Amino acid sequence: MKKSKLLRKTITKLVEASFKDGKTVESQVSRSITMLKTLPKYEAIWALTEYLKELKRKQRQHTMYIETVIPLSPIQIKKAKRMVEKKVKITKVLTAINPGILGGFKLRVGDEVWDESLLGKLNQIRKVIRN
Amino acid sequence: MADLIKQIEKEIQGLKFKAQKENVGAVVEVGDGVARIEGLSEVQYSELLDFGQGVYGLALNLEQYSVGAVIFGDFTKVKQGTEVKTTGKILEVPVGEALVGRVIDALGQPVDGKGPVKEKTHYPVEKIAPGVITRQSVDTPLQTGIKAIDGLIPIGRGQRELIIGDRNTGKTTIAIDTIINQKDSGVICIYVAIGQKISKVTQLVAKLTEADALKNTIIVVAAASDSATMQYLAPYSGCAMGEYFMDQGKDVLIVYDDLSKHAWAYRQMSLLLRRPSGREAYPGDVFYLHSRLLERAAKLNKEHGGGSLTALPVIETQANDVSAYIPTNVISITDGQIYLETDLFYAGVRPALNVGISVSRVGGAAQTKAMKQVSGRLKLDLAQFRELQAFAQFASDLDPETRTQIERGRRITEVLKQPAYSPVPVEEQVVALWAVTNGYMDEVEVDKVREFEQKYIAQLKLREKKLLGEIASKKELDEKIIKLLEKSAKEFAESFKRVVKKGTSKNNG
Repeated sequence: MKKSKLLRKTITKLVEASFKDGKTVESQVSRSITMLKTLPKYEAIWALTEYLKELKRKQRQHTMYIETVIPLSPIQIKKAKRMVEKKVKITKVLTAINPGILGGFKLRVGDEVWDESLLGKLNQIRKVIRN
Repeated sequence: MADLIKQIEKEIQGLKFKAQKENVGAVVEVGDGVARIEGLSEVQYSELLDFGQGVYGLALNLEQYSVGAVIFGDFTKVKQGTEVKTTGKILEVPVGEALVGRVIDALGQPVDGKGPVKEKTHYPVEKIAPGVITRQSVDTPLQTGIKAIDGLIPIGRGQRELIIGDRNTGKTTIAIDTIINQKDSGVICIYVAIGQKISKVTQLVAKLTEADALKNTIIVVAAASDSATMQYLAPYSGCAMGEYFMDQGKDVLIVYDDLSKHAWAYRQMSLLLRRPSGREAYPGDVFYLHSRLLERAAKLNKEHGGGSLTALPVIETQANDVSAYIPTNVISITDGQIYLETDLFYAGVRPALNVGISVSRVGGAAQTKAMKQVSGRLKLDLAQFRELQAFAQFASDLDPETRTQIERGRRITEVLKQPAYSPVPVEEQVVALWAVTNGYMDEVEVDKVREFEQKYIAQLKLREKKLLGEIASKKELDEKIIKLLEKSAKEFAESFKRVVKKGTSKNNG
């Protein structure tokens, strides 16, 4: 079903209003949801889904996700966060242990991935040999 | 082996590791070779995407939060949630001499079991066509070896000539004949099979091998069993391979067999990518799909190497309808069309060429002088024959002049008939067409015309080899040659008449 451009624009504006300094403003989120609920039912369901999807997307852009082989100390995490915050405001940090990357770390913010893992380096060597 | 290891060690030592910054996304939807990916915020249009496990794709639809991409190869490996990376590259295929004589797929991977293709040079699949500055007008003929085409609808190097007709009218045969005729001419041939049966492609490979024409031919296959994305890509890959040779200053002939199926594949892809559909459910840019491909055919000027890329696109019509969407599009893009008719095919006129509708817009400038000398009269005689053909059944009531014209037309039609896979050298074509247009076959029975032609050529080959050689080298019929031709044709016509008479009297007796 084609939704009106106006509704899409409204959703984008609501999502933007629900964020302040990279953090979600809960009161604004609940206000937005209440507002979208007033729409006719078929539009409300779609609008709410889209609103939540965009909200998640926006949250992802401010979430740093680090994969390492051994657990990182809080100082190391802080250092990494400081480095990334030069480009984008980070509001949430998630860490994961992944022995598959063999060593080093893999850092992800939004769609961007910085691969400093041993596996990534081995892959670079593999590329050179293949070529 | 030791050298190889040393070289690899050296390269690894020289390798500077850098933090790899990647732009990634995740597959949210996948089906029929098309995937919708969320993320990839920095992806570019037509960028190659890495789906992992050796599967690649092409970003075609860039939307606000998602990307529509087509997948090459085995799309069953791609699942919902699969991580996709941008590569920063546009799609490229290997090009070069190593591909000649091979059967490859749309990505340049060999499918003939003759081992890997060792080519380091790559060309982008999509490329802007050569501009005005680099081109020159068509001036060299590309001999197809088919009398009707070389005589009436000549093709020049760098031209785009459409072969159009219903199913089973001999479209592919014309293309194959043309390829066979290039075996000793130094022209590199590329045959792109789009959406065809693998059995048909196998037959074709066997035919080319038998005719010793595979040695200068590349066959690009995107068979009916391949995904629509591969069928969409195949002609562009073939064209990129041809462009490499054109840039080297060589002449290339490329056959796209056929562009109707290419349009179908593109329609399927576009519908799956949820692009808005237009007439006959084709997307709005289906004209651009073919125009950008065929514009890449060119004749480069001497400053740019002087190479050429001649394109022979094939279009299959439904019930002779040339006014359908795709045929009209391609007719308007190309520099002429060879129109084949089912009725003519079943009437025994093979190649089933309708010389009335078929045209070549630029080929005339490329025709050799010798052929021009004979084709002028040929066209006139055939046009008159077509006008008078309707009265042919009242032959007895017609005036002698009209009757002569009808009879001449019949004989010309006979001479223009030619069996499949047997291209004729240009000098033999000139001699045969000269003999028929100058009335040396007027007294021969219509059903004996082909026998006359064959025997006449055989005799010339045996006794007047020098004359044929002179026509081939001079490429024109001067007075001396014409006199010799007159003499030999007259003598042969008389002896043929005597032989035929003897044969009939023997039969009667």
